[in-house]
Amino acid sequence: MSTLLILGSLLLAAAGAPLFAVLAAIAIIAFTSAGIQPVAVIVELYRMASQPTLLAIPLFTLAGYLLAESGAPQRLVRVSHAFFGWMPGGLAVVALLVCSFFTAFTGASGITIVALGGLLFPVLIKEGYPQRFSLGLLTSSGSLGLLFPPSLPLILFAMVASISVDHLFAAGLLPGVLLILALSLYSGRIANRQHIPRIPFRSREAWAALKEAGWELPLPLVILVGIYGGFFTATEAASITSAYLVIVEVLIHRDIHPVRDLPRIARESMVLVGGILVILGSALGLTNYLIDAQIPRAIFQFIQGAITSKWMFLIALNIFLLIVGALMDIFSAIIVVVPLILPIAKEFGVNPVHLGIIFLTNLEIGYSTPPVGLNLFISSFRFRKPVLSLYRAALPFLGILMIALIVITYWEGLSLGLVRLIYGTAP
Amino acid sequence: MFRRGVAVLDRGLNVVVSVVVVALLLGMVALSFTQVLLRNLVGGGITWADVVLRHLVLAVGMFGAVLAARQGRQISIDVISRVVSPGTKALLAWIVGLFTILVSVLMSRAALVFLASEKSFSSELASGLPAWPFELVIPLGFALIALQVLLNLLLGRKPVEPGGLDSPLDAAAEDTAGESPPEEKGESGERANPDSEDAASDDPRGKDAPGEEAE
Repeated sequence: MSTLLILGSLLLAAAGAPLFAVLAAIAIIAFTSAGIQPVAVIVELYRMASQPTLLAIPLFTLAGYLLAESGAPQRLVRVSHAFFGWMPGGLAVVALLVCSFFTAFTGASGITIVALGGLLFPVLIKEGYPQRFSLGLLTSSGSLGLLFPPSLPLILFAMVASISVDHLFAAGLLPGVLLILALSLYSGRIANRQHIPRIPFRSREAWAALKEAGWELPLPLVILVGIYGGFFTATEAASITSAYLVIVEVLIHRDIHPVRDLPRIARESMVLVGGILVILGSALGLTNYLIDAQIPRAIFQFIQGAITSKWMFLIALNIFLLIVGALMDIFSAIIVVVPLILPIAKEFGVNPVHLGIIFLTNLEIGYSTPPVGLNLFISSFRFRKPVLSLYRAALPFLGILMIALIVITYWEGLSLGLVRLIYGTAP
Repeated sequence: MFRRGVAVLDRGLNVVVSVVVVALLLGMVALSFTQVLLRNLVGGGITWADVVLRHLVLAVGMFGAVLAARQGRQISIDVISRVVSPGTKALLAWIVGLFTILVSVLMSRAALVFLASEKSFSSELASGLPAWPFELVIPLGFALIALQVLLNLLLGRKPVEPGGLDSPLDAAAEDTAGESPPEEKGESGERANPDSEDAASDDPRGKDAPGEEAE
């Protein structure tokens, strides 16, 4: 009976039922059939309120929305253009850098493409970049930067896996740089082939642009130095960032009107947070039940026959996560899949922090993977191009990201080296 | 008459929840920043601030989920409705909606049981600060989600495409749609709603709006 109900719930999930309702339903059914009152689901949901990192989620989300709705995109594009325009593929590199900066704050919820795409696309075309290249670049940049602090998926992963956010933040830095570097090299090659003129460095423009972006530019640095210098925690960084951005964008730049815009932006940002938290809360009951019922152990024993080494496990994990990333959005994927994968990965000797980086890189790529990667749809919407043409445009970028993914997956030191350097010991 | 009543209720709920969410969030920013300043400059913070802040996140999350339900932006994996006929799609929307209402009511009821036990144990967040008023947001939130989904069904509201997760298209669309605060926006959006049978143009946050934004 309960198996049937659970299958019914899963079917409804496929029919578009909100994920929180599906997870809550399965949790209630599972608990009830085990003779436990449904109140257990609420007890687990309420455990959220004991997580110190919880506060960072709404605060960083607000910060990201404030940045996206202010004039920060223009200012950041201008300043990076002034400093990196001289490089081969300068403007493409600018797009990569600014998109990463943005995604780190907005958590790859698609805002990057909307806020920056319209700004960068016409300029790329004007400078002579091929249309297909430009579309692919902006589509795959929509989730680039996910590995940089303070991105929401990093925080969420740390919470769900109960590992230190600080460790995960540090682990993401070098792999994140690798992804940008790989795409930059490719962009440089394309620019050279198209004979796109480089823009000479002009110190006056650079200085003016620097002054203009002076309020926003230091943010990532302040967060990193603050956390790793031991001045404040990730949650305190969220508090400082959100308060700082309210002051800067509302009072100093006056991009955001305190009455007309601020309440609207605050509300919009919380729609996203509400969507995530209600899933997280409903899933906590279920995952706890699954772990009590030793489901991950059973899966481990089941796959042990086919997968015998850590390396084989990592290959299987990559394939599995690419499929997950193409089907699910990143937040639900973290909440639903991580509790199941984590114990299995531990059995195979994969470090949880490294797992986090592999996991998020996979999902980042999944965002632009046909047929249903979310970035493809957002780009198609934003640039008014058929989704099929975006599939083609995204392909070369996917290939490069895939190679970088292999490096990140099989070179543990790239992720953990910095963590060991900062904290002295293995995480 | 009935439809109008439903529309009024829907609008009223949206205004109240929006105001609460915005007030809570900005309050959280102020309180947490004060706490950081006190801790780093004076060397001691407000003792109850951290635990209260985490409970406010819970509240903002629950109410934010109500807003997400209204805008059809609850996170979901939708594979079927893209390939079925419009008639089947409408039927599915009702089934899915009724399921969501049922589950939300069950969660709300379970949360009330939880609340009762917390009250009987007189749990406290900090000394002298009872926990249950803060925990009230859990049953209330789920009850409001159920109510909102019911209102959506009665008004024939359609979810946002594509994905359902994405605020940005929507946010950017609202951006150009007008500069009014959230309360008024809901109102102007619903004007066409009550009498219109044409579901496609029903929701201003639906397909039409993001298109305008790209121009």
